[in-house]
Amino acid sequence: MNTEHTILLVEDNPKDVFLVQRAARKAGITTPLQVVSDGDAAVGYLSGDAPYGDRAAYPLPVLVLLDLKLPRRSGAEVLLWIRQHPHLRRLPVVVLTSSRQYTDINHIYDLGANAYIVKPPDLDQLVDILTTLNLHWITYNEKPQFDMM
Amino acid sequence: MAIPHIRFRQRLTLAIALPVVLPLLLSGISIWQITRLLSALESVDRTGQVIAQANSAQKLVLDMETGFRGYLLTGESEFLEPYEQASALIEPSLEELQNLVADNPSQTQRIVELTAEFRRWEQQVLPAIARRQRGGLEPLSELRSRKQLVDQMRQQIATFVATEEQLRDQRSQRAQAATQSVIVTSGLLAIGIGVILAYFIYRQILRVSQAYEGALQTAQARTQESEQSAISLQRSAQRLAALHDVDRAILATELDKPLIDNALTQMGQVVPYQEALVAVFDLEAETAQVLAGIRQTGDLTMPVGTRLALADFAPEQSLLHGVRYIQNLPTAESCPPVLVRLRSHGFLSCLCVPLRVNNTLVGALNLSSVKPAAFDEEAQEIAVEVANQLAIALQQSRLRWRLQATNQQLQHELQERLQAEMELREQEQLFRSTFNQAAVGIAHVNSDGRWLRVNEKLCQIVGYTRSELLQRTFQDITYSEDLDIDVAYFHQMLADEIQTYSMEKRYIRKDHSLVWINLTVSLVRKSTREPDYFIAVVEDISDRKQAEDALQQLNDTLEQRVRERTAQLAETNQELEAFTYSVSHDLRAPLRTMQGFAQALLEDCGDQIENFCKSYVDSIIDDAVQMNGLISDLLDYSRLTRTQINLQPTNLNEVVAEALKQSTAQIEEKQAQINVAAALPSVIAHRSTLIQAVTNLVGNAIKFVASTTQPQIDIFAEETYQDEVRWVRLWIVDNGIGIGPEHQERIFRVFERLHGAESYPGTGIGLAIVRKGLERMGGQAGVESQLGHGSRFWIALPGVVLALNEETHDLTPPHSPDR
Repeated sequence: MNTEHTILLVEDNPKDVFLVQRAARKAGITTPLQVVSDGDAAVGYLSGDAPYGDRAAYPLPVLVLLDLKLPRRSGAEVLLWIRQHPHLRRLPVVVLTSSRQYTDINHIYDLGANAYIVKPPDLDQLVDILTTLNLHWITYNEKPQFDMM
Repeated sequence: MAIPHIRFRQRLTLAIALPVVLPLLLSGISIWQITRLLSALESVDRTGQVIAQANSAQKLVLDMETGFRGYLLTGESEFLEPYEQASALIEPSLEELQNLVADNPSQTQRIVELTAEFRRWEQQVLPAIARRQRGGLEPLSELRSRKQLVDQMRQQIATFVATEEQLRDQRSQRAQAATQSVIVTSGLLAIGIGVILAYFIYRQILRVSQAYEGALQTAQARTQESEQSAISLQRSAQRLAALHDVDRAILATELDKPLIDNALTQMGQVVPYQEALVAVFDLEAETAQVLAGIRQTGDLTMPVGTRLALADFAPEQSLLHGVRYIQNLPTAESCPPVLVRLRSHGFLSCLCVPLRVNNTLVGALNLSSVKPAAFDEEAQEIAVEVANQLAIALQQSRLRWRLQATNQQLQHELQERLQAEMELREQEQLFRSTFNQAAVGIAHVNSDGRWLRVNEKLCQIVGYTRSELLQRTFQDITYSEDLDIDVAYFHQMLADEIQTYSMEKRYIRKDHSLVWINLTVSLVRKSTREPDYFIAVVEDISDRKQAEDALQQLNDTLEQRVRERTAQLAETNQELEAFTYSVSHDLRAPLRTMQGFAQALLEDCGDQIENFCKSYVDSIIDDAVQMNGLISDLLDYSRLTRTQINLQPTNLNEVVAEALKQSTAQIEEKQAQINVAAALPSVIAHRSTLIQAVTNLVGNAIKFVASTTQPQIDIFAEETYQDEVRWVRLWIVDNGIGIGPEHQERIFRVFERLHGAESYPGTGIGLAIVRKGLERMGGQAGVESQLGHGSRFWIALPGVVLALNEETHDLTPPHSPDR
């Protein structure tokens, strides 16, 4: 496993964070998982604003797991911001959310999400999902080049 | 021949004059010579005369002297007598002699001297005589003197005579020479003239003879010519006869086969052909057609009416270049098919003459002969003439046909016009009555807006009499608020920007009340496109306007209410959206974590928990799952009511297969037996909604079965027609517990359940989703059932119109549902 990479989890529900982290652990994922709990924090982290200025402590992620229903700035807004960002626009973003509403799905794909996954109530399924995501995006996927900030 | 004629006369004159003139000349010369000869002879004679005279004079002198001497001797007078006689004669004799030699001075001189000597002698004689008479003697001196004198005289005469004789000899010689010269010159002249004459006459005769021969030859030539012209005259007569028929055809401007045949027959008398064909060409269609033909023996090589390609007849190029004469067909190169056919019929030569009018090729005359090189120049000429005439005749004939056709067309047009005129008159009458008695106002208006013609109805609408109206313009009686629009249209129309316009406006009636009318205006233009007059159709719409006003008020109220209701609905919808969103996110999140933590509890701390405690945790998980299902169903149901549904042809086979696939877990769990009819028809539906409905129905059919019974489900379709629309009804028939009639409608409502969750768990939304989904797709759903006897659920949707080649579906239920 490549430990140099980082996954950013944008999730406001600490229970969900816990369950995801647990599932990641169960899936044997060693990639560091950074967590921010709202949309603004996600944008701040990606921008390198305080308190995330130190890129050694808060490295740029190779994958963003993005919830949609977030305080302050919604997941859709964060996604839009990333896609319009001159340097980060190619960053892989997987939406991980509770909603299965079709209008949401279409809208999020229109904004440029790389995948849309509904959080499963079943823990085993969550482990499966994280295993798959890790294999797909961290292990096998060729990372895009980011323009220097 | 005037000049030869003159020359001939000249020659004739010469031939006559020369033989006359030349002998005359000869005679002249002869006369002249003879005269000279005569003169010479005469002078010889005269010389002889002179000599004779001189001798005579000498004799007289001698006589006198003799007489005298006698007398003297004798004294006798008688001897004196000769003297006396001679004395009387001698004087005239001497004078005559002198006259004779008057032309010779020397001789004359001698005579004069002689005369003088005589006189001197006489003078001496006379005294001697006288003395003798007296008897005296004569002196001797005197005698001597006299004797001297006589001797002198004698001498003188002798000289004279000698001179004369010499002269006479000379003259005789001269006469002799003259005679010889006359003879010689006359002979020479006669010979010369004879030769000249002979030569001249020969020449003349030769010339005349040549001229005559020339004339003769000319005459002969003329004769031959005239003979030939007589022959050609005869030919011409035949030609004329041949051409006459063609001429007749031309005059008659019609050309039928017998006429051409006759012309060809006539031509046959002067042109040695065995077959003659006349073909007409259609250059546009590139065809040739045999119009007429004659064959001396046997049938035509191509019967009359034969139509063939122009190229088969002859290459057009060759025909345009003029007469084509093939002297020897068997050896001719590149024969068109027609000539090949002629050849095969034994013809050896052929003359093809184009029929041309003003350089336009209209046909061809084809003459053929069984002899090679049968057509000489004359025959060709005649053929060309006949061909020319035929061509003109053909053209005339065509023109005449065209003329007839044009005539007929003109007559036809004339009739049509007459007809049209009659119709026009009828129509005018019709229009007049329509105009006057129409139920709408009709008017003609000029470009200033003045009424030109108005009908009765318009007068009624505006309340003016016709004459009052005709003194006004439409602007005068239009309500001021409506005037600008109308005038604007009016000017647009004058500017040719619009063709017609309609508007509703108000007129001011004579009693100052307003009347609503519907105005339709069109513009009649002159042929120069200048505006002529407007046609205005005016309909009184007061009643309609009143009704409209009322309707408008009603509408306004209704619209207001609809707007309000719509706003309310939109608000509700928005709330519902927010609610749904909230449900799908916020309501689910705790459920999910609840389930997740319960699972984590079992997984992480399972070994520390008592078994009965584990069952508590299981209950929590079950409820969470149950609640999640409920929320999902509710969201599905909610989405059904809100999302856009696109209907399209949907294959029921695929839909049922997909629904069964989604229900696999349930089917396997209950060991359900499911029979699906072999081929199901297609319906108009929204695929995913339909799949959901069928899935729900199949799920129900499996679920609501007595626990001891193996579920058996039959799925099939049937077609019904309702209001001429083809409906497909899909049946899902189970062997389940059945539904009492009192519940059969209730079960389609949301959250309606007939059984406790323990016996038959469920959300109570499944059938509501079925019904709602079917409603959204324009279909229906229902059930036929009796308690304890299974249920027969159905859904009905409009069928897809069958294509012709679509196979017939098995729409009947399976014979054995148990199978």
